[in-house]
Amino acid sequence: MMARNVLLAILFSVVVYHGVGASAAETQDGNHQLWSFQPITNPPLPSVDPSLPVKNPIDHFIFSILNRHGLRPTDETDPQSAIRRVTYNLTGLPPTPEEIQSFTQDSRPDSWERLLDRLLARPHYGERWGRHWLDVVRYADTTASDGNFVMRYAWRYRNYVIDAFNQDLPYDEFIVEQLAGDLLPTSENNDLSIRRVIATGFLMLGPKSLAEADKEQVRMDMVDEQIDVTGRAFLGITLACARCHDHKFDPISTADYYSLAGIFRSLELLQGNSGVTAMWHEGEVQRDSTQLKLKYEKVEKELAAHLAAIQKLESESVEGQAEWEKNLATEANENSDRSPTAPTVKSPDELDELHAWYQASSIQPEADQRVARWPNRASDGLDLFATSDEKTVPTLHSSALNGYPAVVFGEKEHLLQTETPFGISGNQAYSIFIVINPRSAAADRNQLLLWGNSAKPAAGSFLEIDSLDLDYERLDLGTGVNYDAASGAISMGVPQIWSVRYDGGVISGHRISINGHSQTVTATGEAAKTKLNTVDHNLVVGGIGMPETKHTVSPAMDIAEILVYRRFLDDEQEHLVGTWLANKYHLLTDYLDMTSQLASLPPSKRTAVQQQHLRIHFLKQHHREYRERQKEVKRLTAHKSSLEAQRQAVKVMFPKEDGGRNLRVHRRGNRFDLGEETPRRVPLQFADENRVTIDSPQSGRLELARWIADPGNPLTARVMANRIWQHHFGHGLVATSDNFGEIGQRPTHPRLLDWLAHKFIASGWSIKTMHRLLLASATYRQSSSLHPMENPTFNNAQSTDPDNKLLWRYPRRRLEAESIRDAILAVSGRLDRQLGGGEKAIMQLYNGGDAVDAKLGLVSAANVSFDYSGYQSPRRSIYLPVIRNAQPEILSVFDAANTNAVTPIRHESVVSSQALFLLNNPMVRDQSMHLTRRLLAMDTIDDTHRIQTVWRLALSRDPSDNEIRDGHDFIREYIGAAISAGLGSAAARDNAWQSFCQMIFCMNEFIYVR
Amino acid sequence: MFASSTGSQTTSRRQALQEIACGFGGLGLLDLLNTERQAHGATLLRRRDSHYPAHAKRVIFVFIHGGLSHVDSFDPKPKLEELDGQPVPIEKPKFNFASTGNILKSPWKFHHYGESGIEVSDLFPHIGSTIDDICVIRSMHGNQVAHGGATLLLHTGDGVLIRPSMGAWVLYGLGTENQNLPGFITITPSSYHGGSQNYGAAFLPAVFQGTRIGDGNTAPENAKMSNLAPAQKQQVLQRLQLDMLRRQNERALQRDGHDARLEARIESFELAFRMQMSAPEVMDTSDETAETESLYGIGEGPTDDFGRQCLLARRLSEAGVRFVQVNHSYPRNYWDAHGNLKSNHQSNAKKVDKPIAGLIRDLKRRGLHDDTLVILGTEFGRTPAAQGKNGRDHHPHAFTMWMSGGGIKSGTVYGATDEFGYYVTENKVRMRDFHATVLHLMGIDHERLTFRHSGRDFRLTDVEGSVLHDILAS
Repeated sequence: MMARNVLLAILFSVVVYHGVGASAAETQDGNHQLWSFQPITNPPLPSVDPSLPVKNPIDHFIFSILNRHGLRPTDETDPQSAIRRVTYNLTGLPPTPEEIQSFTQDSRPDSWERLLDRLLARPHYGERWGRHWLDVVRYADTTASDGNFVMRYAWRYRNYVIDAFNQDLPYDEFIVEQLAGDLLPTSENNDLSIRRVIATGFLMLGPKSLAEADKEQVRMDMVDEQIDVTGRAFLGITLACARCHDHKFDPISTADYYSLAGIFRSLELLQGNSGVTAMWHEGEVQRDSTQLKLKYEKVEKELAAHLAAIQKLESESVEGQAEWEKNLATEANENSDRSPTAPTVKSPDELDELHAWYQASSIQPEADQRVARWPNRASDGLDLFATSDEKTVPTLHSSALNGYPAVVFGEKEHLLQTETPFGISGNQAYSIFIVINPRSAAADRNQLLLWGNSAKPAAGSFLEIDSLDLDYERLDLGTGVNYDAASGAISMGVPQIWSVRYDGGVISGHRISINGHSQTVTATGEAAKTKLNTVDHNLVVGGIGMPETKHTVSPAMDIAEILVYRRFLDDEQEHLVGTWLANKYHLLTDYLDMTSQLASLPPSKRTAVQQQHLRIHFLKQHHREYRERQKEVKRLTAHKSSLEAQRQAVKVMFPKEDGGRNLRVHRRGNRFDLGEETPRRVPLQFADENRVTIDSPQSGRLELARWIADPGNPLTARVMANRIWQHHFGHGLVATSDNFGEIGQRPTHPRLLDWLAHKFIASGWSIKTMHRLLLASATYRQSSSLHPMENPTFNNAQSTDPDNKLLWRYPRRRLEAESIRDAILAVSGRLDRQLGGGEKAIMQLYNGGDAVDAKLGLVSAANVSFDYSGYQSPRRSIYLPVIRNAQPEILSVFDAANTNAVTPIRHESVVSSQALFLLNNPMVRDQSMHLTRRLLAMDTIDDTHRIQTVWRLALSRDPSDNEIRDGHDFIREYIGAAISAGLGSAAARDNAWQSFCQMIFCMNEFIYVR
Repeated sequence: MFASSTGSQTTSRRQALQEIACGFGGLGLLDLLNTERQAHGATLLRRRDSHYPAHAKRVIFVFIHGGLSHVDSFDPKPKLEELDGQPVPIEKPKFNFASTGNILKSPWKFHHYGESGIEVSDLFPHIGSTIDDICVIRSMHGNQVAHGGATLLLHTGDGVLIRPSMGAWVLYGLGTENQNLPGFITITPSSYHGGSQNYGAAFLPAVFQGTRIGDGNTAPENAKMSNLAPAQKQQVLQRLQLDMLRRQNERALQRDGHDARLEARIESFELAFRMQMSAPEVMDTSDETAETESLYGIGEGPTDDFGRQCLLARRLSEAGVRFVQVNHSYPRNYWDAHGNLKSNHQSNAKKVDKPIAGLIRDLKRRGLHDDTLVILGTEFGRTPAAQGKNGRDHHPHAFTMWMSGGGIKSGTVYGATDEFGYYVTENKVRMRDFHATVLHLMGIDHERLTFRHSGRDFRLTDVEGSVLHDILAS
């Protein structure tokens, strides 16, 4: 039966390929003439009709061919469409109204080139173009197939790709790093060495069938997958076809295949197994080097010397201290009735931790009855003294606070390990301390929020203690406790300590102070006279911001620390904790200055610790050597910890080089039926002129990579130039962008492709240079209009080239799945534009998976459902975990890359499931509501402004009069119909705008780029 | 519009379209259609003629997930009773999942059923009572020892490589009858063991992938197709919104010129609006009689869940859905009896036996059985030898599946295993033979149903597969 099948297969192929049989026959004679295997030429520019609007060399090639077909290019598109098109193409996001305005008003002759430079400099460029590359290399965070195990370090490769595009890493280096980065000569630069190992994750990303008893079969299947992706990603040829038989169309024999397979089989891809399931290779990469070690030891030694000297100074009596103490005590007496001062930051050097001092006191802020605290880990905290540029909001985006930074004490990670989630419940007394740094210019529109349930806070108030009790909602509305904001203004950029205390009695008994200055709390309304009466809610503390400008929303504040006590601290205790925090954060507050207080004590009454505290302060203020040494200690400590971080090993998924070995041909792909041994080399078709003998003791990946990345390789530059073209113009000059072989399509513009490939190599393989070249052409800036008015040869073009292969107009293109999602979030105002990272999201997936063998690292994501909570993240889509077989619906329904295979071209399907998604999915409805809130918060009474705003945000242009009228009509009619259907008038209005915004997300114009 | 990764230059678009229009001749060239700007989902799903007259118009595939023991269900082995507890006297297979010990007899008795007298164990008395409508294939043979690979092999024809699922191939071949419903639906599919790959389209256009109703975690009564419930409960309000959308889209078309894709997209919203109404009607079983419900065991404790699934499958099939899969699947149900074979299989069988028999009966009395192909599949059988004290391990080397309905020679047994049930001794059926037969019954020549991808033409059956002519009704 087998023989019959083989025969059938052959017959079948002949029949199927009858249409291309003639060219296929050429492959038999060994002297292959296929265009893509010929050397890349540098053709001269064709001449072109001078009446055409040529902008650069690209246009010579495109226009001359159009001319040959009797066609002319379409008129240049309008500036709004142009900026929208290029912003999506380069960053995957819509341009903001401000960007559109500044571009359309820029009358300089090079305004377009300036725009290109701005866009290419944005980190979002790498996120967009990195995603194109991830399509080609079948990126995912899980293994698919049986176990769908989490590849917990794959994200490093993803970020590597984003960085590579952002830095415009020369493409030839990019190739070599991915195939053989680990084999490159060791670099003095540790980060570079590690980056290169991360890059080889490329080889490990494929789907893997790991639960297979025959481990050699697992390896050979992985090798096959590596050969496939290498061939199709870099060379545009389907090498893997030759696993079982000589390639039917391209000059690749099974011997060629097993020559390559030998290279990849010289890697160890597996490390152990759990029962029948194999574990792929991953491990730590040492970053440490002798040089680093020496540096570290030197710093350590210097540091020790300073510390010893400091200790000596602190233990000796110092001249002048008694005098200093006396002055200090006098000063403290004089100031005992001082009025509240505006908080200012003292130098961090002036104050230091008083931790030791508290050991002798009645309350220990570090331990006493504190039930919850944030940050729980050092890495979460915020250095309030970093310059504002370095400051980052702690990554606390919580769904409880609509994505604003918030700490939710119900989430385990924010708690000390031994403690259970803390909630406000019943009439439980509590005391909370919060250290914040307001960061928004519009400070009066920010809120510090503290509330006990998941009800979403509304904007507008200054401080809310919201929903602690269902009977009162907003403290500032006069229905409950009214906190008088006027007496304690939040000042920009000045950190401050808030304390909120509740004794378990009536609600009006809340005590609030800022920096130790007690605030007036007045009680109105009946509710304030009752006790708090809530069921158990998680305590949430966070800051919510209002739009800084019309179109950006920033968090209101950074949160540095939160301490929660499950009891009422009396004034003295509050004072102690406040003082501790003030010292810790070096804040001058109304909490008393401990040093002055101590100075007033007679020395005989001081403890040894207190005595030392005073001496240290004296030394700090008046002892030059001491101060300088302290400064050095600070500097060296920072240096030391940075070196420590640099020396730390990084965990990476990568193949392990295992020494070179040749394979024998596996007849028909069967590893038990072996033929002749094949030396490791590149395919013979190419080896003649560019001989690569691999006799190194290594696998030969480096030789293979260098052969691929060689300027003399006829395929590499053509394939990549074609991909860049494809992503700008919708289809490649070679439409089959991963198949430049015999049955791939021929280029529509072969000379242009060569010219581009030549240019690409000459530019030092700079992808950004290629963008500038392509995007500066008149070809790119044509209108996409299908209106006969805009092209004099329209009718002719429609009949001779309906698919627009010759580019007589710019092709209208649908946004890719990621861009649809990102754009909806951007327009609604919810998009988190943070760059990089993503480890946390993967670890969440990993920690939530089914551990098959936790020690090995085999954790299955098979239980993950399509509505996985990790997909709710407001980050750009490229940072969502890629879980094979459980892609988020918005991505799969809009034709995102097949995560299991090389995806050279995205489909652009039009199916009703997309319409259903946009009409009914809660995500779209939610984002429409966010956009509605944005609109309704606008300071206008005229809906025309709102309609204009939506149009500008979503469609990058102003609405026409008709469109504005439609908008008004819709809102009016909808409100009417909604009221008839039983909605209240406010709800009807919200609903009308929500539906209006959603309608915008459904529009062709939103989903397509003109 | 669908850009496949390769395509032939030498066949013109016109030719390809003609071939499509002329029927099945152009099927293997459908990828060419993908580059055609006019094509959209609706075109691809349009009903197409089969290669030759079909026996079956639709498929209902019942998937028993975890590995149904053949020697305890449809392949009686008296020898196991005789040698219970003794070492296996023949050589065990080279590749196993885990290690096994001595022979374990079946805890169930077998009885002859119906006129055909085919033996079925006490696990499946209801299916036994309808055995004359079934062709039992006792000689299935796979090569995957773990669930993932074996489940993928069953669904896609390959346990390792990424391939389209059987349902996607059928839909690609034939299109679907009812444009207001998806053409391939899978009810509460598992996310385990390949998950969505088992109903995925792989490199076929995504429009051919299965639409799931719920997932493996959902109880059937809660299982829904996503995004079908209108976000606006008031239809009049959603209509207002859609009218506004249409007005804006049409205005843009006037401004930018005629574009077939954009017009198709406008229509897709109207289709969505209609689907919102027609799909829930099909899913709502409240118009079924109590008598029908009792046929499926609905409302009767253990059979309620699976009974609902089977009834829903019949309704979907009846409404014109080409391929429906019913899953008895992880994590709510699994047949993976490594230990405690008796309690595992007994409780599972109790849940599915009556519903499956009810499905066959219901199809028959509605006149649907003759042109509906019902398949009972599992990823592998279980070892004749014991694993641990009282379990059985995975056994892909020989196991049982069955078919019923359209074009099947009913009341027959095909193939045989040795006296222990270890190896196939007669008429070995590989998964690709099985797939070739399913396609054949649908009127499709499995060697001519191809899709060009990455430089070659792919088939559900790769380069293998032979139709099992012996099980076809004459």
